[in-house]
Amino acid sequence: MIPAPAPLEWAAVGEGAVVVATPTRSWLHHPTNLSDPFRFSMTCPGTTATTERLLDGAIAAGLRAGARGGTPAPPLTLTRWVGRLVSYYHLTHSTPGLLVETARRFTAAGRPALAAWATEKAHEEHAHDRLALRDLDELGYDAGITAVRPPTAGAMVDWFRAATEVEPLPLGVVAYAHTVERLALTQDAAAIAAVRAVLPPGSRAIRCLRVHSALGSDVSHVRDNVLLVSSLPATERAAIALACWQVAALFSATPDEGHQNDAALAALFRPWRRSHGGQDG
Amino acid sequence: MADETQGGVDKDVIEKWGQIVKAAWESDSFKQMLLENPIGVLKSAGMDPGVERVEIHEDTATTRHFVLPARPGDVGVDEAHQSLMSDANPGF
Repeated sequence: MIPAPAPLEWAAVGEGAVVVATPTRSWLHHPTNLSDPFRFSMTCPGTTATTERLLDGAIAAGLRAGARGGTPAPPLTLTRWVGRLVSYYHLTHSTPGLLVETARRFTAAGRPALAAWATEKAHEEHAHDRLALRDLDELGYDAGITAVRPPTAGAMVDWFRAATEVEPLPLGVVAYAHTVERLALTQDAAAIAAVRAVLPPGSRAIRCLRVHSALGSDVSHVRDNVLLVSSLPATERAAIALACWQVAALFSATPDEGHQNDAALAALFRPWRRSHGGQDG
Repeated sequence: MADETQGGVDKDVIEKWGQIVKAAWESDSFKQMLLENPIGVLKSAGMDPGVERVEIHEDTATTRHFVLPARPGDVGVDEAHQSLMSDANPGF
């Protein structure tokens, strides 16, 4: 019995791989045969189910590729959480402005749906950097600590900024937003509890984390992103999948300079630490 | 990356395979060598297949061959996220 035709999407990502997505799963396929059907670009329309799996597969494959050969980060401590909050600041601070610019470019390109998405997202993400600053303040650090630019966050922001300038369509921005919001959904109750465990008793310095977690607004943002991408032409969905792979690989890689130990991080952050503030981990 | 591959296959490989097909069309002795020792011929053309066994099937006017690719592995974000090597939390 031949199965009935079912929705299927695929896209080439990095390292010669192709993500093949059905409504229920993603495969990471490495075409080796010249007649392999997935060597050729998809032309089919998207569906929310297959596009979601396509982007998920691209992100997962990028995470694997970026992590390959890397060194795991040291266990989370209070000092490392301060560093992660500084990263949160950088990831969120430039977002609204870059999204406004992205909306302008989508409008100029005659793509109102994409422009509306970027405008709405700029509104949603407004002032999220203040959450990170409030968390840092509660832990005893002045806002000047954001002069420190953690390497992964710095590389991500640089990629995001460059993506806004791509002509004729800054589709990489859609991929960037979807990737970081989809990854935020991996921050579940257990992940939040793990952070709480290194904080001083009674601390609420997880405001930024909660918003960017499976318990926050990113759940609906991811759904909206998938809905938008699934409505795009096949070539644009494939380009976004490839860009998701690139962003995920960047995010999961060990920084070139390696991981700093806690003592080095504490020394780096010390100039902005108030004497009455929280303790180093 | 996107400029160097076509659907995950190195364009250089496609071009080399094209040269081998052309040579087999032009020379029966080359075709025979290809059928008898495919790995040797492919390697001599600079396209090491990287496997232990290769079979060449020749299409005819009445026979066409389709290759079923090996079943790939599943990939998912939640599993892949466990391998994260950076010291950052995702947020936007």
